[in-house]
Amino acid sequence: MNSRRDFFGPSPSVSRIGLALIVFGSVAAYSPTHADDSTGSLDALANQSVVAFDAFDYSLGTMRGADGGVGWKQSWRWSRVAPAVVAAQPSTSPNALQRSLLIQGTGTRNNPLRRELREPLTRKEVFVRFDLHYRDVPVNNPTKIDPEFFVLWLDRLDGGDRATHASNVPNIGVHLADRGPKKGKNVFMVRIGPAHTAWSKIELQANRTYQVVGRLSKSGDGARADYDRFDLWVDPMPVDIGSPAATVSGAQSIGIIQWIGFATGLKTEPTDRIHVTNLILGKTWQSVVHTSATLIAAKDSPDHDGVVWDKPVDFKRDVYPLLKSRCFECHSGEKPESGYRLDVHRELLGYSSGEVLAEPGRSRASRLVEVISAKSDEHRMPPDGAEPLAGEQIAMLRAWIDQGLKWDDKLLPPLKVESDHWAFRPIPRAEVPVINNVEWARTPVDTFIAKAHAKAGLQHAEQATPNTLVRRLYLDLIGLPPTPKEVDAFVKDDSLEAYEHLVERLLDSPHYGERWGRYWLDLARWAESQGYQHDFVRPYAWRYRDYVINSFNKDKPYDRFLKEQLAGDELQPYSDDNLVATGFLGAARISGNQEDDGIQRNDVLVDIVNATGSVMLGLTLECAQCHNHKFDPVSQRDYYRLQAFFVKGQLGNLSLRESGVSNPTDLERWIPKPAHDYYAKEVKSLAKKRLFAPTEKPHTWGYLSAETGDPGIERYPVVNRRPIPWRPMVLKDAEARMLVRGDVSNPGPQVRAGWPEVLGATPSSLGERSRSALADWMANPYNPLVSRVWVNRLWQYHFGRGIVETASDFGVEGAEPTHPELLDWLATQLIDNGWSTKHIHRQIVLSSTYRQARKHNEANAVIDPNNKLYWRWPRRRLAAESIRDSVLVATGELDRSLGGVSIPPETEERNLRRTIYLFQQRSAMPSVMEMFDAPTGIASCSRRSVSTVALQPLFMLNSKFMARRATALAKSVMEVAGNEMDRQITVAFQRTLSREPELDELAIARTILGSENEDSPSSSRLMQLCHALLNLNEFVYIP
Amino acid sequence: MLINRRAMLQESALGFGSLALTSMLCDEAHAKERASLDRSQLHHRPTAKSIIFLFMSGGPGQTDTFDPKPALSKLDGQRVPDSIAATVPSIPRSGVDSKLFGSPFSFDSYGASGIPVSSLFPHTAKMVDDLCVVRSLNHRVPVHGPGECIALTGTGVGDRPSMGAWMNYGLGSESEDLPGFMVFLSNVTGPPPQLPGWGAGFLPARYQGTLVDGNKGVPYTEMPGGYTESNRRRQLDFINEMNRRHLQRLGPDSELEARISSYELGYRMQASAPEVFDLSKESAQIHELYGLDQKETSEFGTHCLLARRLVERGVRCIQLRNGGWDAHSSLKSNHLNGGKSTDQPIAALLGDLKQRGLLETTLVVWGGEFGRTPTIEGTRTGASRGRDHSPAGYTMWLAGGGVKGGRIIGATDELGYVPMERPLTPADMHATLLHALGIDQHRLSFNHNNREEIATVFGGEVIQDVFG
Repeated sequence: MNSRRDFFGPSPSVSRIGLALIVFGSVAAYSPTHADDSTGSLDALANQSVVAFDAFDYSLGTMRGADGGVGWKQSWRWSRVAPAVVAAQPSTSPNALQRSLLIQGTGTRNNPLRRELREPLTRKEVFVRFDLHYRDVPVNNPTKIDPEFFVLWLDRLDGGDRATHASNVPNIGVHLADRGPKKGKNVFMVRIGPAHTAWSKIELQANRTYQVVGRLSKSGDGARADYDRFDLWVDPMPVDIGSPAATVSGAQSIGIIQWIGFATGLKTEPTDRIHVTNLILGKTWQSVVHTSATLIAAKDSPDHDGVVWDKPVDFKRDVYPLLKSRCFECHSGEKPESGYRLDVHRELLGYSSGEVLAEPGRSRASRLVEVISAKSDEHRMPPDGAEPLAGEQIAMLRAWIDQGLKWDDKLLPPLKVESDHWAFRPIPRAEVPVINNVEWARTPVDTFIAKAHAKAGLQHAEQATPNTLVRRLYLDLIGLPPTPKEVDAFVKDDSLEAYEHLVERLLDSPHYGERWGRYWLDLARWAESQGYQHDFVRPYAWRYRDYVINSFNKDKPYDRFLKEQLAGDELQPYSDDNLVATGFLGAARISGNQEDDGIQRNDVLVDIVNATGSVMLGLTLECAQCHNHKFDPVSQRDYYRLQAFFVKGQLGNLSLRESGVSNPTDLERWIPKPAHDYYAKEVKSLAKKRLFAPTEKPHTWGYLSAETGDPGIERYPVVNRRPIPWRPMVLKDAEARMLVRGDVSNPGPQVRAGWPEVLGATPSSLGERSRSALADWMANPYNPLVSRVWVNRLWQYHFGRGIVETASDFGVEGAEPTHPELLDWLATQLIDNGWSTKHIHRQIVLSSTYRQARKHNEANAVIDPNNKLYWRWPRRRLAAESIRDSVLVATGELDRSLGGVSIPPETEERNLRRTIYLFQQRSAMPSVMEMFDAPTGIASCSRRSVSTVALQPLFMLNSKFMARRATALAKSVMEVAGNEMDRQITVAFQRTLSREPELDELAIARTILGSENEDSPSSSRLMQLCHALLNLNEFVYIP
Repeated sequence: MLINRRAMLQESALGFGSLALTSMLCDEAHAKERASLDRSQLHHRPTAKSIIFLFMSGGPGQTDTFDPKPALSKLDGQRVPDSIAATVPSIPRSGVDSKLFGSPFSFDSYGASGIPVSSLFPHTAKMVDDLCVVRSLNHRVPVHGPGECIALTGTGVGDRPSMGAWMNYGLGSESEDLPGFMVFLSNVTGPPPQLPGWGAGFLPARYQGTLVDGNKGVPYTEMPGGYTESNRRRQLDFINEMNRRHLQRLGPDSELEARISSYELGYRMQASAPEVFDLSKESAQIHELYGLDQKETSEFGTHCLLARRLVERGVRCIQLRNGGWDAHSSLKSNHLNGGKSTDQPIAALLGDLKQRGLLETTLVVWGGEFGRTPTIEGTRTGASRGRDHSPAGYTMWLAGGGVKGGRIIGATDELGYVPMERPLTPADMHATLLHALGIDQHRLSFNHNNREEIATVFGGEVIQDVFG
């Protein structure tokens, strides 16, 4: 399809093995303060013959500021697959301060780091040198070294994270010899494409440092001639220039070099450790051999203006006044400029943002020093033409950093993350108010409502009629209207507890879960496809839908419900149900055309964290992905600490193993035809590439941790244009790192899993299963958010608006609760009653508040026009699903069977089941859902909007679906009512509106049925009447 | 008895006549969502009332359409000179390592402005003095799905509102009977259409584009069997009367009123939409002009003619997506097909709008999600040569709606790889389109998750020099 080639060419089929290598720096000692006499070979060469170098003198671990050395256009670019990190030299090193670059294997082609030269190289001859050390790691077998091991490449392009270079790019390093005397051994080699490879006789050995030198040259003249010859030396003596260890020549190659970098091969493992340092490009042999980048560096950059501060620095006396007068105006306090905060010690160390400003002992790599000593006005701090810091001040700050970055905690105390925002405070045990209007109060809920009524001077509405109440309860609790028989049964039930009995019956109905589970599916952004451009289906995602429905039906304790969804793969004892529950995490979308695995993976993690934060904690965390939250006390560190819970896992098709698990395999039965055809085509193409093999074994779509997931769970491949990879070794080893400014290519310090600091300290150990610990923390009665957020959602789903209107934002910018005590009382009730959701339903549904009529009261409306204090039943349109389901109940056609595979649109007419069972592909949602504001499963939806557009009536009046329903309703009315007009009208009213028509309504209905409408036959007239009734506001609003 | 429905609607709090169809709903919960503008309160004087976006999906090659590169033809078959290759941003599949591919099409200068147009577009070429050709668009995403999302929503993720939805939200429709934002798909081959391209994102769903089948018209406007004009009217009267009684029982309620009005509006849409989509009233000459009489041009020609009719009726934004430009191989025949099916209809649309005095107030935009590489994709030879995706530098054009024609903005290097002059982004284009409609991109906002969201979230500045 295009010219991209593997960097390593075809790989020989050598078995995969582990290895460990360390590359490390050479001889010279380094110290930031004295770079005294140089060795003889150094002199002026450093400035004239060296094209570029880097000594990797960077802060440990972090990549930030990796722009040292000379001769480069910009800082190092780091792989997102497995970024290289700066590490100390191994203990064998002569100087502990010397740093090296640690590169890990990934089991995939990787370009761990690369850098652009300041000027493109086209000269006839270029020398390159780096040092490499390979350490024996006992767990591996050091006698067998991977064939696709490690090289340095030189190219015109950067090749991306996956080392996608053209095949003719020169590289130098270690590779398995496939011919010659060292066949089958790992030897040093040079090559310009697979056809031009030369193996030296020098085998790579463990625990040795090698100086690798190459000469790249052109036989032709001019800038456009190819670099067609590559010579290799390993540990050369100065006189060896005439006798390279290996040479390739006559290759077609590139004529210009602008990028160089390192690449690891397909078969490297995460345990592989390769250290590199002393990277030098030069014009001459002498400029690279027997020198060191550190020495060149020391020669190259003297201290600023030669000013040296050699006295001890006292923070209070020396540093504080300077920071205070020159920096703190912008860079202190809660909302520092650009997020850089200098008045908190740990912020200098990159605590909340991941950006290290200064590291004790290493002023050379300090971002702080960099900006205060920048040459250009544009980049220097303080900004905007302010007087730059004096040379002596800069020297003092450098000395402060090098002397250990000492701080005065009394002067500038450590930051305590705390907030007095109501939602972050513990839940007080709310007293049930004493009210005057005691006879009105049926449950404690009413006392809170009545108290607010009394305070505002509102008068509650009268109780709704039995016909209204029965319809309300049915629609609200099970999402289906009552049949005329069910209406009759309730209206005629004279017992004192008729209402209570009905509530219990409905809460026990299996249809309850179909209604209330749907709210959770909205929150969980669940759908049956991958999302994004290709939107391939996830054939077994329906299992999670059933899991949710069943959980609601069983009144699974909410804390348990969360735990299964957060940690179902690791819970013991194992159960299929728990694993299916991870469909919550699994509902994240996966892009099929994100070419960068690192971004693809991070997008999934971000999706998981955002959903978990908003659904369970009611916090909008999205923004903390790139910077500390603007309003809430949530730092960027908090964000990545939450992400840390999930970094060892991946989405995918996961095996189920309990006996009796249903396992349909005829996908075309439930996947819409176009989607199925598209999927089948992709399966074929993936199968050809051996990336997918269909399985008949039962499985579900969910999330599995490579580390803590039950070992019996098998992970099957995924169908997507770029299937998200499953690399258990890489995942097990995956570190959670902050991403500086949210940039995947700029990983910051490592973080440990934990919850937002403002909500309490995370214990030093979370045990072996950290996600279970996260779930336990959520269920802790002292957690101020989880129970409040859930009862508020329940309230919202009953009344259309939450006590806190922003149901997924309990943060500082979220809405204030209208009834804070009621919210706390409900939250406490939830916890005290075993996290029973149905218990909360009862508190609400049995109340007088809930039983009010929707009756206008002018006096009330003046005081509380938006009914925020619930002086009447609020107006609520049915959700999309309920509209369709109600129509099917009215016509008597609803197939009430539960669960199982979904229904594709083409068989809808033969399977008139509830809307929740229609196949839900993100890019092709069922039309009734699209029409009436159902979410498309992209982000968590806490409250559906209600839009009213002209296409809706057109759908309700003209769609084939509705036309068929109208005909069916007419037919069934006819069956009961025969040809008698008024009887037809009455039955039709009962079927659709759960009531009989008023006299004058009979009259106007006759305008359709009667002789005025003579142009239609009578059966059509009845159809028209039925169709009209299904369109009434009264039909689509909860009464 | 039955009340006069018009009287009833006038009584209602809404008085729909003065309100845009799509901004009908109002209640306390959605007060924030209300369109923040009406035409009397625009941010500045608009230069356009409507926009027609001719979206060429797949990505027509800039060097084969409006950005001729003689040097490319001269160097055909050679490698990319290092001086240029060095400037190509590091984007996967930028094709710098394969051989250059001179355009198989010839270019000529046209009109008083002398703007060169390739032989693909002989008809459009005649309108060139009305076009402002922007040759320096660029972004960094070389994949169709995200690219289409960038071109139409501003970001590649597909979770933000489309530009049409923003326009619809900001201005509503001038038409009482038709949706404010309508979308037509033609030649749906190659990359699938991206829903976010006409989706509402986080804006309320009512602002999304209505996908219309050019042959069938607005969905659900055809009455099912058993209905006639008169019995439908009778049925609607019944519905209205019942709804009115319901409303009286419950007291004032804007949402219920809105739903009542929606039936009347739906009825009008049902009545007027078929009229809009009935092209039989258009003269034979018009049919011929738009190429409705020829197989190659009839589909896109129909859409172009419908776009003109919709503009006449005040529809705010019309998006015509034409697929199939993804010429990875056999670019010559691919683009010839694309040109054949779109060139005459586009020229007809421009000419027809102009002749009717509508071009002054209608902004027509042409372009794809990216352009194509100046090099061959892979190692194909002869007629099977094609080009890969290239977002690094590509061309769009604008016409009408206050745009000063006969002008070229920006320039790519001598091979057409990257902008050398006036580099512009899709976001700049979006800011410009909003500006033409009288909307200040920084002031049209929507509160979402407690954040004031704007259409051009990643920046973008109005390209002032496209206007006269």
